[in-house]
Amino acid sequence: MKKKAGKIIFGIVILVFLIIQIYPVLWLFMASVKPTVELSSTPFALPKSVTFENFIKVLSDGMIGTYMWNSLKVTGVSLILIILLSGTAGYALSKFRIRGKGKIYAFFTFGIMIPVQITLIPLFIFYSRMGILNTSFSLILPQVGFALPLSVMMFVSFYNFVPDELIEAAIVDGCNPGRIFIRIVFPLARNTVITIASMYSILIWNDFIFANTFISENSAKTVAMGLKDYVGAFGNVDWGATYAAIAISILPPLIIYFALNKWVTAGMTMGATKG
Amino acid sequence: MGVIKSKRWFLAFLLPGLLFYILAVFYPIEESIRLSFMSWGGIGDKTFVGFQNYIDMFRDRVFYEAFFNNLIYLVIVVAMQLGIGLFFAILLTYMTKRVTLVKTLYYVPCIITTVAIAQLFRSMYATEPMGLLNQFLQAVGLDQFVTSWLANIHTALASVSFPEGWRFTGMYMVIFYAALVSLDPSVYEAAKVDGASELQILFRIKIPLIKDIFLLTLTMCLTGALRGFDIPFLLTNGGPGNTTELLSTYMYKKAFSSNQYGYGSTVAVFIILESILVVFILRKIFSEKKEAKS
Amino acid sequence: MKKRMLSILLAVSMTAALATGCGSGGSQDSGSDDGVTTIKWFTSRPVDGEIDQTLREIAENYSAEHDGKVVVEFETTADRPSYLQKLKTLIAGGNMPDIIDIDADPYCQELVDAGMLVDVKKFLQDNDRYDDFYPTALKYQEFTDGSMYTLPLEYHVEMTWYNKEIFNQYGLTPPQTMDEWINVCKTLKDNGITPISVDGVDRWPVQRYLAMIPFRETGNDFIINLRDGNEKMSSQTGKEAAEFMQEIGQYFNDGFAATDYATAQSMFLDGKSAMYYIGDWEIAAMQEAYDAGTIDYFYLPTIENGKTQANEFCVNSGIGMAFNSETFDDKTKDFVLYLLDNYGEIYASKQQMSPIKTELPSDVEFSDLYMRIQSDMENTGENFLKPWDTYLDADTNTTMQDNLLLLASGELSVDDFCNMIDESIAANVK
Repeated sequence: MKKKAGKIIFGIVILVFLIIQIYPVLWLFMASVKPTVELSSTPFALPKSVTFENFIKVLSDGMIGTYMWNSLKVTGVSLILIILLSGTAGYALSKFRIRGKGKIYAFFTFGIMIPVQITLIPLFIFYSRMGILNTSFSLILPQVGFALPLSVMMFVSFYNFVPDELIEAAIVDGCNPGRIFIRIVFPLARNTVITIASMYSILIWNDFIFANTFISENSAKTVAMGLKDYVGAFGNVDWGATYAAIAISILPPLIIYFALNKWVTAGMTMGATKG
Repeated sequence: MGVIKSKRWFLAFLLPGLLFYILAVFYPIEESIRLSFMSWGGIGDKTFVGFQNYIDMFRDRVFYEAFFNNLIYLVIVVAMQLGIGLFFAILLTYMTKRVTLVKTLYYVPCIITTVAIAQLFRSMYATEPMGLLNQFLQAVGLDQFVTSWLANIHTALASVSFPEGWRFTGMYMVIFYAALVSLDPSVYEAAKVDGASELQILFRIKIPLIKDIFLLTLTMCLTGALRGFDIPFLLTNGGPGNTTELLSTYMYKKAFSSNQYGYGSTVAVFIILESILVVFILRKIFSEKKEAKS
Repeated sequence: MKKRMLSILLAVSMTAALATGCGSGGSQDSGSDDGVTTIKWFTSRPVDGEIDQTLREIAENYSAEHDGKVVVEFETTADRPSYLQKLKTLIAGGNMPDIIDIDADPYCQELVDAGMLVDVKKFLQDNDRYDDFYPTALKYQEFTDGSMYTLPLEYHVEMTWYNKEIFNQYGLTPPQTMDEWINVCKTLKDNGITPISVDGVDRWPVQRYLAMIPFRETGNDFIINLRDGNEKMSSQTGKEAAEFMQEIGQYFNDGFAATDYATAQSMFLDGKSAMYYIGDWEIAAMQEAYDAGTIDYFYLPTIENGKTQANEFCVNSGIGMAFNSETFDDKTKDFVLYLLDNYGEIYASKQQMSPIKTELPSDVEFSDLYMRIQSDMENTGENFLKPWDTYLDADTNTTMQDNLLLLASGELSVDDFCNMIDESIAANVK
């Protein structure tokens, strides 16, 4: 009897927390099909009438497609760079016997502590001089730079579990360090790659600060910035349209997340527990 | 560790990442430090002012307010992310069915952009129209607690901290859960045979075993909270008054609203130093424990 | 299955990498490799709003008339704080666009002092366009010394809208004086009605209330002197302003500090508040209720022995456009003149108040409300309340706006507020 009651309470606790965690997402989708008037008068009630006007409005100006493409570009290129650069640097820091590499590793991990906002002024001036504002690169540089410390750390801790004997054997077989990396070490790190990719794809896709500072041209805007398109002159926001845009913009990460979920979790186990 | 000795290959693998990292992270730091000794309004020449910005900062009432707000913000965020995250990770280890589903759904908030989260919570906290939180309070008969959470100076800071904590709780839970289930059962099966209770196993064996994870998550979580920005910025922009001003929103305001780039950079340098200090202390504590144990 | 998902994902990101080649590049130089001149306009008008539409229409016509040899490129950031931040960083980085939107504020003055903006008063006079504008619309754009570097594209009056049904129910009439106004609020509150709904999130609507008493007592002299360090917030006028803020703040909706624009406005339109302060740019939102006879408006009430009259209140011609003095060549000039000649009619035909005098197009039907406000605008007095945020330096303005919310909700005392402002001005006055 007591055991059963405990089980029910247990279930309720799990369920309540579940509601707290996912209700907001459901609410976002609900809000996007509500007429704007209802949104500001009864935001939490179920929609009295469902309207797709908001979606039509957002899709008809065609910009959201451009924004999503821009976000995809930035996210995709950043991920590839993060994985390539941290995969190779991690290899150097783990599998080479070179003096001073401990210091270089410490130098990398130091970056975890640096707040990203400090880059805004210096990088803006730098980009401006180079004439690369409003390019995907202006977002990719800081995204990749600030992702490197943690991802290098994760790669190093994974590589440390790859037995040195394996590499010694490969050397004896006549493999050079480049081949060893491509054929043996990097393929083993698949879970680390997925962990990093899943984590940073979400973070980069949702980035607001960098895009808000470095992008002003409509054609180069990313999704998070596009969400601010519906702000009027004196601060009046068309929330219906904004929610529709939000609903569209969070679909890709949600799809990726649900599709790759087991990989994400498996990756987390590898990446985090061995950190 | 490490067996390959070729310096050439070492550099070939290391340099691309290292150079990128230096350009993206260290060049801005160097520039920030340089700017923090300057006075610059964005137009015309920068003038060197020595330590004046630092002197001004330590006399600035709002700076101290932001600093203490940031501490409270930090405590709330860390307590939620690690406390609640660990609690539910433990609960999940006792679940037999649908663990993956529940875990998957718990994680969902980290996927949503902060612009959406900010508006969501603004609606929840509002009194006009009555937000969800206040509706709930009324429903359970706690009418006296109904307030406009973001406008009330006593609740505003906690109210802007909560969404940040909420957002990443699921992520930390997943990390903790992964660590807990990866423990070798034989370690605690023996204790069970010896008659240890579940709670004892949990606190004496399981949690100490995932100590390294704590260092990692605590580092992520603390530095994350020290640079907290988006949600307070979008929800209240530091207000009402400066009751929800954090160091990073204050830095941003000074640089980009007040055009005091030099002063803003000074606050930025302070944030960097503060973050480094925190991580340094953390490492110290954990490594001392390790030594004491071994 | 999952493996395939991953490989698809990777393939997608690879393609993305190839397609971008890191950066969209191009479009940096307004140079003329193929004889095409590009004019870059960095603008802060709502996307697809009436001004935006009008400007794009004119730019397209102009481009067509010149066989596509001149292209006007708009970069729009509607959200004002992010716009300003971006503009400032652009300029700090030495990349000022050809045309920008800016208020005649201290930052703009700095640009002028650095010789970066074109003197538009001279430009208008040289080209005989000065009298095309409504004088007040231009005057709003002037600096205190009478010089002018920004041109208006809009023209607004601000008023308090009120719910006639609620007023009738409690036997209230639109207030003529500030004292009456407070009494109206009190009566409403005593009867459990929220007197005024206010958008505190954007801060500027609250700041208008602080400016009301000083405007009635001194016109804009108080704020000008305050900015220049010749007057103190803790002077009699300043304190009266802060006291009024605190008094009327009691009648704002609960939690106004966290109420956004849309919510404040819909509270009023849903009859949940009796009054709401906003300008004529919301005509479209007010139209229906106005036609139904449920709402009406009144302008800023007066005070006894005040310096300004009942037909003098907050008039503004919005953020202005300014020209980069380095790139203001004959081609740009030609475009600007074309713009000025065509703007009024096209803009007015979208049911907007134009700052440039124009015959109302006969093929568009204008509502009674539009005609009434238009005639109000033609009859405004010589003085007008100029929003304080265009006077104060950015730092003091931030301090004022942040702390106003506390002052209005009674959590900050009048004395503390005034001292805070005085300290900030002392630190920033040059």
